[in-house]
Amino acid sequence: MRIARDEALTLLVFCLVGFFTMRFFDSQSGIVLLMVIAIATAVYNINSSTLKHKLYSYIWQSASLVPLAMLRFFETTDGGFWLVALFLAVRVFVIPILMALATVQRSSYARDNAYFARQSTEQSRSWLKDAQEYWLIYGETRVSSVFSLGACGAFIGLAYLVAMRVQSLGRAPESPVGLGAAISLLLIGLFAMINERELPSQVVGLLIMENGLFLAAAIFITDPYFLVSFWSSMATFFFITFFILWRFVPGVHSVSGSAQIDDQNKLKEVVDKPQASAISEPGRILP
Amino acid sequence: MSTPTPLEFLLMWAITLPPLLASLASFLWGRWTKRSSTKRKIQPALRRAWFVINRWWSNTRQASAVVMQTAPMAIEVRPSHESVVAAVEFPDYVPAPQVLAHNDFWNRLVGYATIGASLISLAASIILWRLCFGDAPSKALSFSLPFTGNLVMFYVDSLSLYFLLLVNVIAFCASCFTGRYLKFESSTVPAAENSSSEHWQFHMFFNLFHTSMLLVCIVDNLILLWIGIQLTTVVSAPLVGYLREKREPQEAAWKYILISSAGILFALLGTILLLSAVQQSGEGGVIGWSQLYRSLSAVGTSGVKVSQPLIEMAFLLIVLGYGTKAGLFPMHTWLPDAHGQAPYPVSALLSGVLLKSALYALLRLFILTNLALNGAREPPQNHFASIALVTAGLLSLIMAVPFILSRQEIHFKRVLAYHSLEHMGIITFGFGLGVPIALFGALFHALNHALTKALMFLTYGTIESSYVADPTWDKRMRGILRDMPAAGTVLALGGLALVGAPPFSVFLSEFLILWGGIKATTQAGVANSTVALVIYIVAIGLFVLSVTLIFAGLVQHLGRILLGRGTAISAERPRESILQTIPLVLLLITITWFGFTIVPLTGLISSGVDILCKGVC
Repeated sequence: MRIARDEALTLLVFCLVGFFTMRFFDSQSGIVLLMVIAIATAVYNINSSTLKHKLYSYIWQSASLVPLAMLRFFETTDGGFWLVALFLAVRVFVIPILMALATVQRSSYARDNAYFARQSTEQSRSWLKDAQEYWLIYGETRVSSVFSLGACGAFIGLAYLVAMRVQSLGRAPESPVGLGAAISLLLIGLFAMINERELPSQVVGLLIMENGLFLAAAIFITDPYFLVSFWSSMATFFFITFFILWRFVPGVHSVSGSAQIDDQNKLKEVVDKPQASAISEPGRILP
Repeated sequence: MSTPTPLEFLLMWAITLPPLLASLASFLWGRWTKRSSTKRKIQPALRRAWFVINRWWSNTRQASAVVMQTAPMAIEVRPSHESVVAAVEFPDYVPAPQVLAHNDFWNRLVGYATIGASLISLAASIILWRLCFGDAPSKALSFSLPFTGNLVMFYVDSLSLYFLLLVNVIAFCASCFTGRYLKFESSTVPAAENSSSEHWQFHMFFNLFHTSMLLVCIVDNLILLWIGIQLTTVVSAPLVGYLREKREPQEAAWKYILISSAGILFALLGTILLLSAVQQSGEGGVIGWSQLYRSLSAVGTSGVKVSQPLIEMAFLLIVLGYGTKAGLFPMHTWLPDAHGQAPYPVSALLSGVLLKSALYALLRLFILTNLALNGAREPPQNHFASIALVTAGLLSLIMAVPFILSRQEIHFKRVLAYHSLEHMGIITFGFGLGVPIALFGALFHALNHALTKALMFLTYGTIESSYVADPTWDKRMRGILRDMPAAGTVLALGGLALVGAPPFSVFLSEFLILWGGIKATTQAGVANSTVALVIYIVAIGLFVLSVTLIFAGLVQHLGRILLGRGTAISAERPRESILQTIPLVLLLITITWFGFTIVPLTGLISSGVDILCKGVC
């Protein structure tokens, strides 16, 4: 399982980076470095053109948050951060599996379709490997890489401006770096959701936003009681992600015959004939 | 704040548990019947039970016939064997084994369980209101879930009780129409294509949806409040996309779950920032709303300082996040699609109470923000939160106007969805004004909008399902008034109520909000604040203009579907039944009644206004 090996390796590398930065400098430097990695992976995500690369960049981003949570434990000695780190590490392994389940077509439509049928006849391949083939098909974006980079730069700049203003006006306890990084990830994730052309890639945008929230929580939460509540809220959000990938991505894909967001346009045509227009028609098929 | 008495404790469980148990029952039944081996086991067992009951019953009747020697009563005993059991022609009908083993019977039973659960929950909340809060509306109950310590705390005050009642009333009304909708849906989709013919899924998610909205109204912990709102999305999205074979519902469900989930993340970030700011001012370890409410009431007098810009930013994120679920501009785009494509009882719930649940969460944090910014400070106060709500409300109201005024023949349920955008804008505008009369009007408007919108969705859904027998019904959504005079009249009067025509209750609540706006303008004039005065005058002008234009827009859409030629051939005309019209007429009477008097609710709403007023009035 190559993807699992890559995930484990990424996790190990980031943990070592965090550990050595803390050992030779201090934990704050390690946290800042990991934040920079998280933002860089988000920017890479926006500019990559296949779902496979997007998913890998998401894995790197999530993996960079694991040592960040551990470093926060060393700072605060709050055991709840271990729980958060464990949860993040589990997500690193589980999300690609869920994404594979969502993208491998097992519906009757897919079986009847020539393209998917060709793929499924190759019995020697596992569904996870099949999924990685599909991940190379998905990932088209709406705007060019230059525009995406410019937008990312603008979002990061805006986020840091807001964070610095909040800090300069009031008595914000933390440096603006943490707040700025969290808002950056939220905005970049939102932009990714708008920018993507396919359903699975849109979910990756949502997951980046979720990572932004983890970052904010890791920086701002100091109370153990609060941390447990936050962890339960993140578990709920993970359940929602699972639900989207397990039920909605295959459902919409199978009923419309397309994973393209632009093909999900039936609601724009709805006039006062609700049932007549509700007849299913196969949409555009992926290349 | 007090610990609940055993009766209050019992009532609280009676409010929350029945829908949860009904959903569990639906799930168990669904899983049980899905397995064919279970079906094979259950059917002979039911046949055997039927045989035993019948034999016992026939023996009893024979014995009584011998004793009483009543010759006129004809008792026929048939020879019994394996398949044809002994049967006695007695007046009381007992369902045959085939009926017992058939899915329709159990589907209907699960439907009755849904209605029963909603009814019990509604009755318990009314009893709690009348018995426990009737004499002391300012009372508050607080209790925790066993074995969870202070982590899962529940808190019920008059504000949460008001929203509990709102949720239960609309859930009960909607549950009464679930059976009819599912019957209609089964008749339109061929059985071979209809994987959703197992109604248990619909009932399970419907009851879970009801439970999650109840949970939102009673949790004390602010993070659990967010979880509750997020759970409403998870359990309502499958209801929106209930028809899995059709593209539109799936598309609507996709947009709904994705936009809501993305938006709500901003709310969680806002909550974290708000709690973090408050905690660093010395309130460590407190994330319960009631505890924060008490401690923040002391800000300004006890000298506790909070980071004002951080709180302001947190509140903006909260408005953006919970505003997404409340259908406020600019994250309202899921609303017309989801409301338009959902089954009509679900549309009634979505529009009637889901938006109000999100608004309730927003209000709780609005109170905390005002307290954190102002506390017990004397005027001039910081009105940042109020200004944010007025802006969000007014923008939502204005954005609804072009869609409702559109001359395009859009699906009427979408028109109703845009009305939700308008009314949520009005309610938010009312809360933002921050004067007691406007707060009263906004709370009252939340109830009126919920009732009126439930009436409209249920009536339109009933009409839509009545036309299905006509093969060309989709071309004939005209002349409803002629084809179905009773339902058409209810739809026409409901439409007039929705746009705020007198004497309906929406008119009264909109008038109260407008009155509040004038009062706020007068206060700004007295305080010699020229900027505030101009802003209030412009805001009130836009409010009146938008409401007037929307009136014209809905009348145009109603005229399109109600008037004109009905079905030409009388045999094809849809039939109206009294049973389906009675609940709708009752809802209409309630709306009209509240247009004349709000005395029964005055205590509860006034007490809610007192809670909302902290830090702003």
